[in-house]
Amino acid sequence: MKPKTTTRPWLILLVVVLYVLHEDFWFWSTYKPLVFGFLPIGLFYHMVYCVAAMGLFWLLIRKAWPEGLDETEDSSEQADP
Amino acid sequence: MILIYLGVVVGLGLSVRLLSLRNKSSAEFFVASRGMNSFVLLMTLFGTHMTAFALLGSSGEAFHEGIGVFGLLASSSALIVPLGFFLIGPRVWYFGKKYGYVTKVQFLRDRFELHHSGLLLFGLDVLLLVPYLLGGVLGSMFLLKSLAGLEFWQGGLLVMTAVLIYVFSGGMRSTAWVNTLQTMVFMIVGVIAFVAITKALGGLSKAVEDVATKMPEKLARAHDGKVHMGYLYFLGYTFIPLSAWTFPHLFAHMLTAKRAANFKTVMIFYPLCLLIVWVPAVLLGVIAAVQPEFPQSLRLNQVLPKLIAEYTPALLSGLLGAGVLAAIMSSLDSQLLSIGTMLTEDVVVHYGKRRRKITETQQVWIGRAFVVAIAVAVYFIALATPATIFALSIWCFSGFAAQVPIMLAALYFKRATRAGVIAAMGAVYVLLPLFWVAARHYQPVASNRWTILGLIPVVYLVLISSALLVGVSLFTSPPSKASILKFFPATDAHAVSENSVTEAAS
Repeated sequence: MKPKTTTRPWLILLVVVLYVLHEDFWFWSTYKPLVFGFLPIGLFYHMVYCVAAMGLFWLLIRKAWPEGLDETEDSSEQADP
Repeated sequence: MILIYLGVVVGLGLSVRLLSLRNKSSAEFFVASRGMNSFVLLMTLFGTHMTAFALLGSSGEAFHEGIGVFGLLASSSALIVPLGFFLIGPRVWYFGKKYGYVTKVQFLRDRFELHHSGLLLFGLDVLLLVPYLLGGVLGSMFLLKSLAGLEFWQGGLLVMTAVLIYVFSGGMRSTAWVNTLQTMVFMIVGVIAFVAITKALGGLSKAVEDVATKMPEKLARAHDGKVHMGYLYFLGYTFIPLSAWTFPHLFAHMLTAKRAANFKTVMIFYPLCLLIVWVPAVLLGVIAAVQPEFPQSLRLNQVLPKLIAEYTPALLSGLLGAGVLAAIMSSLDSQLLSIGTMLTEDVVVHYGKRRRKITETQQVWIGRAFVVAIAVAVYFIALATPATIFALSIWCFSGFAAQVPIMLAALYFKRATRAGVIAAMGAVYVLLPLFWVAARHYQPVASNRWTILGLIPVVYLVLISSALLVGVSLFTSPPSKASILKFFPATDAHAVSENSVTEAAS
């Protein structure tokens, strides 16, 4: 079976939005509050950003994973134990 | 502790080899018979990508630059690197499995009908990988000197021998499994060090409050009107993680997946792995900045070892040593194997097969011979290499990032031509050294932080190579129908049938 991808423009837009949100100029010179008493807000924002990235990838997998890639001919290659 | 760790690593590598002794194929040696499961793929990709910088460099940079380092290097990677695994990973794995590729050059040579010009790509990859490899070897020498008092030649010999044993005997399978162990080791060690040090300082909240009181600029990227990390500099750095999309050693690991679906786990959990490693390291760096025994003149790689030495029991020093060594070796082994594979497949087999058949067994032994030769050469060169080699890493990343347009074109841009690809590669060959020379001229101190109109050179390299690839492609002959059929099977069937109707009508 030949690989097939469904392109969804709104997903591309989400990726672009998340990329843009990386440039958090609103927290550039802010060092307080300390979230949970020890995380500077600028660092906390980027930690949440990493979690948001995980969510984005989950969406990409659900909605735009290329089909048919695993339906290749079987090879005689040895699988990992 | 370090000797025990090296013994465990070598033992694991040899044990894994015993499990696949009967399989003597080149696919087994170079890409572990494409049989790695999701967990091993995640650990080996993450471990190969992370070097000692993930522990030592990150804390050292945070010590000097503050928490902005996390956004600069870690959270940008959390988006860009897994995005690469999504856009590139499953597709190159598919073509690798279908057509038997074991290197990036093989794939791109076939895709763009390159023959001798494929050597341009090969040459670029080797030129960019060697400083990276040298940095790893030198890093291990520095580490073992500071933690165990070994001379450079002794520490380097110990590490290279350990790596050589399992890479030589087990190839990619041993490398992948050892990397899995090493990744878990450096992740766990980082967390243990974090907990122990912050506890010794009276708790995390107290430690960070101290920083907020004495050096608040470490907790932000600007303070009191002074910006110590510019907006454009921060933005430009998001191009650096693109390098992971074209590292030949990461490419090789991508080919080892058992199924395309294995990349899903990698994509989802890669950012989590970054969080686990980088957050503690960055916090430790900023906390160290306000400790009385830590002058701001302290070198980058000294911050974490000094924290461990000052605030934790001696046993943890040994554990840290093992953890940092794990981070170094998890990249070193893959880079060594990658160069050996490239020399074997992209040069010897590519040119040699025209004269005589080279058997699978011969390919494996040629690969092994190259691995040994490179390890020996790199060891002796590292002994004579100055520490300034570390500053080259950003330029290596920039060179790899500039190849991203080529990789994306291979998978998504049917109209990309051989001439377009050669033009893009030419841009890297010309501009990268030019930028390097200019940086050393205009900013001799910290030349790796040189910018052009606020942006680091990698931005311009990527944009220029993209423009050249697209522009030259549009004005040169399209690739053959056979190539299109081979790499774009879903759409080219339609195009071929249209052409058939046109030809029949005329």
